[in-house]
Amino acid sequence: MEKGKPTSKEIYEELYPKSLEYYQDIKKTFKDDERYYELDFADLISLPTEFRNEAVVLPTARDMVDTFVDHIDISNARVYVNKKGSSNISTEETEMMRKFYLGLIHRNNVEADISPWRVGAKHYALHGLAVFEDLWDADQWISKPDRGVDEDENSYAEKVDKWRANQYDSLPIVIHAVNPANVIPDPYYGGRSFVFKVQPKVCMDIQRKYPKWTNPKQRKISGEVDVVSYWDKIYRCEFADGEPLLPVPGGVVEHKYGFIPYVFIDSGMGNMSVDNEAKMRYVGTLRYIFDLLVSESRSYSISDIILKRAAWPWMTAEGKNASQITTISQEYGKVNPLPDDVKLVEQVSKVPPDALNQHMYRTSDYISAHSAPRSVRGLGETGVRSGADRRLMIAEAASRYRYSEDAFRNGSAKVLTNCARLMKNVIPGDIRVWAKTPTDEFDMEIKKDKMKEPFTCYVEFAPISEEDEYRRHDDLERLVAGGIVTRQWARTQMSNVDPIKMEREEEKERIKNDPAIQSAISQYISGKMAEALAKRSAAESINNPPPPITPPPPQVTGEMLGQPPVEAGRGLVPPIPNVAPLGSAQNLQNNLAQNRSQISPNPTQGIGGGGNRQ
Amino acid sequence: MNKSTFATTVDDIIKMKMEVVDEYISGIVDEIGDIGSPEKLIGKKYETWTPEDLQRLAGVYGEGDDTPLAKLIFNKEYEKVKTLEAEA
Repeated sequence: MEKGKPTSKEIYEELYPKSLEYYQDIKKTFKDDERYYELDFADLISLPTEFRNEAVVLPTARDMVDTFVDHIDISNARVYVNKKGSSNISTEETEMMRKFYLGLIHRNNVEADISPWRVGAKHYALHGLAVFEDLWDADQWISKPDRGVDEDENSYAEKVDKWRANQYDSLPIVIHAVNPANVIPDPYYGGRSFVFKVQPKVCMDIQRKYPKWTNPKQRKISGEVDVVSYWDKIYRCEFADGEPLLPVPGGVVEHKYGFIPYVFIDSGMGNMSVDNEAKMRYVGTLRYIFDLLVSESRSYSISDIILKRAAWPWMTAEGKNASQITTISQEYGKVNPLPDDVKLVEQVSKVPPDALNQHMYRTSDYISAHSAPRSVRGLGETGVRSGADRRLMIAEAASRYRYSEDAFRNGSAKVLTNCARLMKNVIPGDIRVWAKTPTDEFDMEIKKDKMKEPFTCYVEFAPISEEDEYRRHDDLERLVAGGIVTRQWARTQMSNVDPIKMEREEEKERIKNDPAIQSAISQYISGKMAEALAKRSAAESINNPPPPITPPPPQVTGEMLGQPPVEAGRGLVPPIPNVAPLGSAQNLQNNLAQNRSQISPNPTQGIGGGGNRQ
Repeated sequence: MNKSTFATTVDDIIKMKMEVVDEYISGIVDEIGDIGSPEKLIGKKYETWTPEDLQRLAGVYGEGDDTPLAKLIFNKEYEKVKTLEAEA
C-alpha cells in the first residue's frame, strides 16, 4: 500500500464517525437557523391552548437574513491577475487567465438556476459559513468515457466533449455552493487535511452512476441513501451504505486535483474557541436572537388576538321592551325599527395594554440593533433628519457587513485558482470560455500549455452603479485639478486602476517623449537593435542567401523638370480642424464637461441638518 | 554618509528608467534577436554538421561560451564522452 494512502475501512469506520461526532452539534444548530428563517416556530410562541391556532409569526428573521444577503456584494465581478514577467508572452498569459476566471464566474452564474454566489451568500448570513465546491463535471459521473492507453489528449477531450453534450452543461468546471450542513470538515486545528460531504440520493440514481454497487441493504429503487464523499489533497472515496462506490480495488483513488475541492468562507461572527467547537466558530446572524424572535411574535400575536376580539364595534339594547328585538342589521344605510323605549347603546372595548406594544417595539429594537438596523433596510431612524446624517447612519450600520466583502473576495479568488489547477492538472484538452459583462466581452480558447503555476488572482465585486462611478471619478478629477490631492492618491481611490503601474506607465510615456533622454536611449537601443537584426539577418541568410541588390532608378523631381521645389512644412490645402464628430465619445465628453457645474458645491451643505432657522 | 532626499530621488528615477529600458530590451529587442536553436536554424542534426556549417553558425551566433551554439556543442560532446565511457 502507498504510504499515507488511507483505506476505505479507515475512512468509513474511523475518520468519518470521529468527524460526525464533532459536527453533530452544529448540524442541529444549522437546522434551528433554518427553522427560524422558514418562520416555522409558531409552536414556540406558547399562547394559551384556546388561542394557539391564532399565533402570528412575524417575518423578522427572514428580513434580517435577507438584508444581510443583499449587503454581500456578489455582482459586477472584476478579476485582476498578476503579471509574472515583462515579456509579451507573460502579458498574453495574464490576459488569458483574467478572462478564464471571469468566464468561469459568468458561465457558472448563467448556467445555474441560481448563482452559486447568491446561495453561498445566504448560507453565509444564515449559518455563518458558505462552502463552495469546484469539480470537473466528469467526476460527478463515473460513467465518463475511458481513455485509451495511447490516446492523445485532444482526441480524448473530443470524446469527453461529445459525452458532455448529452450529459451536462457546456463548461466542464462546476462551481456549487453546498449546504454547510452537508459538509464535514477536518475537526482538528492546523490546516484542513480532509473533508467529508454527505448527500442523500435516491437508490436509482446511485445504481445508474455506479452500476457495480451491490445495494447492501437491499433498498427499494425509490429508497434514499446518504452518499458520503471523502476528499483529501491526494485521494478521494465515495460510499453508499458503507460500501465504496468507485470501481477500483479498495475504492480509494488518486484524484490529481492537487487540492481539496471545498472552499470554506467563514462569516467571522463566531469565535475560534479553546476546544475548536464548530458551534461557536460558525455563527449566523440569527443564532443569538432566537428567543427575541419568539418574544416579538408572541407580543404581536397577543395584541392581534385581543384587537380581533375587541376592536369590532358592539352595542347593547336597553329599555323594558329590549327583548322584543329579533334582528339588528348592520348593513350600511339600513334603518332598524326599534320597539318603544328601546335604545341602542354603543359599548367601548378594552384595547391591548400599551405596555404590550411598548414591549414589542423594544424587542424589535433589540433585534434590529443586533442584526440589521433600520437604516440598512431602507427605513428611517428616529431623530435623523438631514441627508448627510442619514448617510452617516447607513454607513455606520452597514459596517457590520463589511467583512463579508473581504471574505467573499478572498473566497472567490480561492475558488477560481482551484478551478485553474483543475483545468491545468485534470481536465483533458483546452476549453472555450466566453462572457459578456459590463466591462468585458470575449470568447476565447484557454490553452493549458500557457497556464503556469502558481495561480493567483484578485477578485473584486463592484456593486456601485454607473452613476456612482461617474460621480466618483468626477469628484476625484476636481480634487486633482484643485490641487487638493495628488494624482497618485486619486488613483489609489479607483478600484480599477493600479496606481503603481499607472505611474510607471506615465513615467515611461514621459521618457518616450523627452527628446534628450530619447536620443541617448535611442542610440543605446538602436545599437542593441542593430545587433539583434544583424543576428537575425545572418540567421535568415544561412539557408536563403539574399538576392543581389540592384540600384533603384533615379526619382524624377520637379526641380529636374525646371519647376520650383515645394516649400517644406506648407501644405497645399488648409488643415482639417480637429473637432470631435457629433455623437462621438469625445463629443459627449465635451458636452458633459460644459454642463458640469463650474463652482464647487458648498462643503457644509447638508451637514447643518436643517430646522435650525431662527 | 546618508544620501540626501534629492540624491535618493534621482537614484530612484535612474533605476526606474534603467528598468524600463531593460524591460523594453528584454521584451522587444531580445525577441527579435532570438533566432532559436542552431539545429533548427540550419535544419540538420548536430551529428551531420560539416565544418562549413559550423563556421556559418559561428558567424551567426558569435563567439563566446554563453551562446546557444557553444552550449549545444558542449552538451553534445559531453554526451559523446559519457557514451564512450559507458562502453569502455
